[in-house]
Amino acid sequence: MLLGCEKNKPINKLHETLSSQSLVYATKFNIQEDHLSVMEPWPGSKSAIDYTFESIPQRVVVTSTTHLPYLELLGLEDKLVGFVGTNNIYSEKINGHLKSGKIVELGINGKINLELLLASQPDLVIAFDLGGESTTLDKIVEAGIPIVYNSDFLEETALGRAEWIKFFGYIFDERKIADSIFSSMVERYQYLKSLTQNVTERPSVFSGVVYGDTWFLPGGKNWSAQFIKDAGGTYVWEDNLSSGWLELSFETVLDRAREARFWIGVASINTRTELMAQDARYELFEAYQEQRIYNYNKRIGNNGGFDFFESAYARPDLVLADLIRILHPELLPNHPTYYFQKIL
Amino acid sequence: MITQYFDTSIKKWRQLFIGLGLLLIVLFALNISLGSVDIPLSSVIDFILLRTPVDNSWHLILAKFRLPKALTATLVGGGLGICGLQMQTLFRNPMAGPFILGISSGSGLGVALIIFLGVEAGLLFELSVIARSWIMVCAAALGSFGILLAIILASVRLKDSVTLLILGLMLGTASSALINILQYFSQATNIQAYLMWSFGSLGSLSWNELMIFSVIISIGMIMSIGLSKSLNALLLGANYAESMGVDLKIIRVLIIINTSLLAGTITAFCGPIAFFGLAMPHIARMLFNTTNHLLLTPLIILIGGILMLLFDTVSQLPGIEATLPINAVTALIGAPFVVYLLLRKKNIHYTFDK
Repeated sequence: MLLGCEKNKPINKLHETLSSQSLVYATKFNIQEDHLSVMEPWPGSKSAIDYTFESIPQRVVVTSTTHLPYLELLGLEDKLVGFVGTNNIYSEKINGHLKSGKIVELGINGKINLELLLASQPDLVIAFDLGGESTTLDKIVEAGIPIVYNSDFLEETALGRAEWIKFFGYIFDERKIADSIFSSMVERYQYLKSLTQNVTERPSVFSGVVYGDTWFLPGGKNWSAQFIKDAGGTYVWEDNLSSGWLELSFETVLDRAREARFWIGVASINTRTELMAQDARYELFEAYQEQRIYNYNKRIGNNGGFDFFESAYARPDLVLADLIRILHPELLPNHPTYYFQKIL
Repeated sequence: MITQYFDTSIKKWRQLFIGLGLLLIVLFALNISLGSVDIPLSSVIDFILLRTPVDNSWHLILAKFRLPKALTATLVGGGLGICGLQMQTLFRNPMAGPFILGISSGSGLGVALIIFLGVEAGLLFELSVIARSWIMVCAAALGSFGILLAIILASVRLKDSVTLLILGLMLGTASSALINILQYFSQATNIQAYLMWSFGSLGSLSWNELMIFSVIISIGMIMSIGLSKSLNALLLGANYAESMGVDLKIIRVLIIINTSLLAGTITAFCGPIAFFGLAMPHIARMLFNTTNHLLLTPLIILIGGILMLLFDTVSQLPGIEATLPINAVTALIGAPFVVYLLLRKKNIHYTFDK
């Protein structure tokens, strides 16, 4: 099989049954009758790359843990032959394959070891590129192994990112299953969202911890701010217009969020004692005094992989359910949180 | 000779010191008043005069954030400046700075070991009863004092200061290489934590930490004033110093201990702060046109504090919610200054080639 960057290729026989239903939320890729376009393969890239597939890939290598849940949801984990940085993997199924030797470690710290990659004989590498200057990826193409760029991390909405299951569905010719998984997930998301539409009280929420002198927080238009809104909360920086991340000073955060009700997402911190050990000034927050602090570390693998960073992007419905459970427990009395937990 | 000069112009110097002292107070007050949160001047004045606060949030910010940060900045500025002065005189090299002997790389290695290995072994979380920041401080201190120990042992054996300098550079390079290897095998979150440390931070010291920090830095500053006379002798050349009855070996060891104490402690608490120690002695020499360490040492303590307070005020970008890392600001102003020094090299050599 081969992947190309040419337009006007003859219609691929494999995908004849495809409907022309377009994508609903995702904006960074596009599915056409005969090809797959990644609109912005890496941040700031101006030109799209079109991919055509002559056969279904059988031996695939992916480079991010966030690619794994899509393969698993589509039942394609058997096709995975290699991964970069396997110690970050949470998924039990994939860790099992790793143990039995079906999946090979291809390099640590996100750096692909070319010799190991060639030895694992993949017919497709699904890669991501944060800067558009990865020389390793060029080398892989030079070695004759086709690469598809996945830029799901550039999506600006949670549902848009989850819709990338259709990207995997197209590549592996499982488009119908991908469509149905996605649409039922959207249905669940919309149902959960509808639960909070009429709540009278919308508790205030902030997040993050300080690193050095800087407190990193999602901007007001960031998709994590949207989650809080959909879950019936008020994000403290709701009026901010950035879709990226804010770098604030501790005093700014204290000034705005001192009386906020919930503090959700305190990085890898697991107890209030740890918080105090990092900076005793955290106690000035009301959320600290009243013990309403949550992290996303409920599911951590034996080797330290965070499931939240692996599967949550593919499961926005679960994230939303968790947040509703935290902010409005009476709305979902029977849903125990999946990713989030209260720290004591 | 020097004392005679000092006597005749004592009045002029006294005025200068009083002026600089006042300037320090003004900048200190300015630093406390300006920050990302807009606090009205009346509240700041209430705070300074210990009146009952109007808005509790503002009072908390002033008491728990801005005051400790301003004190830290004052001490760091003076401390690093003195280290730079002592190293430049000891090595008779205008490009020497507090970290020339590998002190910051040593601290960096200590911190890197804790962040990259400690976290991965779950060590930090099990030790969470002890404040995490203290573990970092101890690791950084151990790292820099480890390098210091090697340098002191060498300085007893080696007669030549240049050889010492090269040894320090080698140790520093080796530490950096080890840090690189650790980084290569670490997870992204740990690399980020290390990067954050390396940006430097003046605002993360709690009052408890500041207490210990200020005691150590004050001891170091007093020690430096005591060493000033010997530094004057050193400036005139090793042979001249020995003829004046200065025991070169002991002085050399004392200077290295003093610098390591100051630079090591500052790096341990605030991270490696760039360029400051290198640039400060030159600024002082040029501004006040003196090479007398009895004057330079207290002058640098004052203008070091003044400039660090100024840089910190800039890094807070008053009125904007975002902040810049202090290291970016000091280096941004420090780098053009080094270029300027290189262009005026002739002038600097004159300081050391008497």
